[in-house]
Amino acid sequence: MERVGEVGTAMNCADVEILLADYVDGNIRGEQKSAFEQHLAGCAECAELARDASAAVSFMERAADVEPPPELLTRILFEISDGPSRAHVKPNWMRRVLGPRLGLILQPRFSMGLAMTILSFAMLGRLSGIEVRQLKPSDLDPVKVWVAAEDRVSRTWERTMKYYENLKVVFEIQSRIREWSDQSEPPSDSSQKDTKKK
Amino acid sequence: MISRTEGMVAGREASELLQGALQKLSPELRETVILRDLEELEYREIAQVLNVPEGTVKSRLNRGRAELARILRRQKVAV
Repeated sequence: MERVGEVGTAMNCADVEILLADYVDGNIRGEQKSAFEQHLAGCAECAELARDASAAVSFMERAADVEPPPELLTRILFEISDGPSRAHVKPNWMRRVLGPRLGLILQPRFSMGLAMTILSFAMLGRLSGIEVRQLKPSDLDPVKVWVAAEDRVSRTWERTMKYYENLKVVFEIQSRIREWSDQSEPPSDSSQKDTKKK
Repeated sequence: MISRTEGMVAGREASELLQGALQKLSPELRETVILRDLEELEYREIAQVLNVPEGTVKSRLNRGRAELARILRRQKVAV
C-alpha cells in the first residue's frame, strides 16, 4: 500500500487533510514533512487550514487551567463504566483524565468547571442514593456511580429535574442519560459489579 | 500567571477566552479538541473514548482547531 507522502509522490489536498493533525502535532518528519510543506506552499486553502490549526494549538498552549465541560466527563464516566471501550481503556489513561479531578473534588477549590463537575456528581449521587456530603473517594468510582444510578434514573428523574432545573448541567446530563438508556439494556452482570439495589 | 507578548494573551486570560470559544464549537469537535489539546490523549485513546475511527478523530481535530482559531480571530483575539 502506498504511504501518504511517500518519496516521489506529490501530495494532494486529501493527503494533506489526512496528515494535518500529525503535522501540527509534530508527528511527521523528513521526506513526508517536506512533501507536506511543498503542497502548502502551492495551495492557499490548505495553507490557511494548517495555519489556523497551528494557531489554535499554540493558543491552547498559552491557556491554563481549563476544565473540560461536564458533559465530557459524564461521557467519559459512561465509557469507562459501561461503554464499548471499557475493556480496552488503560487504567493510566483513566487516572490521567479523572485522577487529579477526583482528588480536587474533595478540596475547597472551585473553578466554574470544577463546580459543574461536582454538581454532576451531586446529581448522580442523588440518583444513586449516595449522600454527597458524605462522599468518600471510593464513592466516586465511576462504575459504582453509574450502575447505581441506573436503577433510579426513571423513578427520580422528574424530582431531580425540579431541584436542579436552573442548571445547565441538567440538560447535559439528561441528554447523556437518554442516549445511554437508548443504547444499552440494563447489564445482566450487575451482581459482578457489587452493586446493591435499594 | 498572565503574560503578554506582542499583544498575545496567555494564562488565565487566554483560558477564559478559550472556554468561551470552545463553547461555540459543535459538541463533537469540542470534545475531540479538548481530549487532544487539553487532556493530551493520543489519537488512539480519543478514538476509544469517543468510539469513532482514528481517521475521524484527526479530521474532527483539524476542523475543530481551525474553527477555534477563526472564532478567536472573530473576537479580535491574536492567535
